[in-house]
Amino acid sequence: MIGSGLDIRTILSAWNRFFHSERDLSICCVLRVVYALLLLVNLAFLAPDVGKWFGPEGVLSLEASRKIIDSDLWSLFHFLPDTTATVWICFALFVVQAVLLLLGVLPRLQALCVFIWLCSFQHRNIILFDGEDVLFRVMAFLLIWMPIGARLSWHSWRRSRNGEPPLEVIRPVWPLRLMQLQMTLIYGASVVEKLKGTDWVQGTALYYVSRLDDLWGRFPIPGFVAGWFDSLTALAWMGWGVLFAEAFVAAGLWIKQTRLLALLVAVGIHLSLDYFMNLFLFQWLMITGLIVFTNWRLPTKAGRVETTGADPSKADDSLEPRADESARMA
Amino acid sequence: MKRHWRKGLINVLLLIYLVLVGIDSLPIGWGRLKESTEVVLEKAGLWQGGWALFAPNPDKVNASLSAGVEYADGTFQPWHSPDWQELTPWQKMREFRHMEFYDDIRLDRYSDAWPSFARYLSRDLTSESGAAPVAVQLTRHWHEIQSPVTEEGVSLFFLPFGEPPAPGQFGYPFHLEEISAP
Repeated sequence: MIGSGLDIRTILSAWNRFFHSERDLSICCVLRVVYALLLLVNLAFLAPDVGKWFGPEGVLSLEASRKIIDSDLWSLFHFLPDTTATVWICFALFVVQAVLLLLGVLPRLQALCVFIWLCSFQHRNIILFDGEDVLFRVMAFLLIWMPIGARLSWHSWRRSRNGEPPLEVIRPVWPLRLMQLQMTLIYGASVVEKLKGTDWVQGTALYYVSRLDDLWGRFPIPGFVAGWFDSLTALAWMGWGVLFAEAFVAAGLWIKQTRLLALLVAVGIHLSLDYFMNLFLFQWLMITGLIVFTNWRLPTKAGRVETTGADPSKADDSLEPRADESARMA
Repeated sequence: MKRHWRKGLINVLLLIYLVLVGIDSLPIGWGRLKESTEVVLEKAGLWQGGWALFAPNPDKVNASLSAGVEYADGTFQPWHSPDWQELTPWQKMREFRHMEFYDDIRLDRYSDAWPSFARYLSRDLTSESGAAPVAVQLTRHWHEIQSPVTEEGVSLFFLPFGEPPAPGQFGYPFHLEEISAP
């Protein structure tokens, strides 16, 4: 017993309900497709400068790159010949595996390989990468554990063509939960970090951000909006609005009644930031991560949400425990 | 029975993962605990290192980088990182990695990377006369964005929106790399 009626069995039951209840995880396949598309865009922008960023004749020699990272970080480049050809071959393999991930050919294996490539390239030139690349890497790791090949994939297409039943998507929800917790962690940690400083609390943070010459200023800003950025009062309220919105999203995504609103707020924030700021693919990757909070289910070719080998009634679309489970717990 | 063990194993791994990531990313003073978990996460390639997005306070510096390559015949060739305000949205997106690199390499924590970068510039910027490079000097430039408010009200240093200050207020040569003949 831990005080007010909260015993270990209750905690374990809640844990099991949260991580091991079964639901339709076909949304993971959508996550795979969008993630792979963004990854390919990322690689397309890196491609013209692969030799410059990662090659032995580039801006950062292998020796120097090892000096500026923690000794615990690893990269395949630490074990391979330090040549331009090696870098290009590795990059080409990375692109091929990203394409295979998009197409859903052995997708979990591709996710594992993409994770290894992301570690290798990021640790080869750490100066080049930021939080967006951390999220790319963590998402690749989480994709490894999801049933990402069951729909929208080469495998599902082949099974459909052969008249075989579609792959099972009613699975324990824990891989999806990890992704949901990751997204919540980003919003929550961002709020706490902001509250530790003075500028967000005082309301001057957006003044500084909007005066940065590199990250700020992407598309034309209408005159009446530009006026807000000249008003310290408006800037303060916008800054506090960001704080409140991030906190609301972190909590609101977990409550059924506020989830849709939280999703809309989050997408609104990210699209606005993408319009005003040059943060490459970060906003789009965050929106991609939010997919796991939706309850979309992908129908099979026959237009049905099918299951095989499992009782369809076990499918749990909600983020909350099913009513019968709650009753059983009580 | 097999399923029971499998579920138990998954639970143990979930718990370990969540605790490690929580300690790594939650902005709480974990002290030495954080240092020891960092080793595990770094070896696993799962480090996140916190999500301080423009936090705890945003950057207050517009910075840029310049370099000068000196050649054996006494000639000199300058180089400067792009002026981001001059770029179109497409160019800004295309040059995003350059922006990241030039913004960060000037930092002291990357001082071990300076010789390598200087040597890259010496190879990239060739002399018109074909003379060999003998030295490269790296200089950082910056403009501090000062507080827009004082105790009395709006500061004299309030910057109007729309024209971010170019990073030419201060300059400081931070690395000189002598290039020996091959």
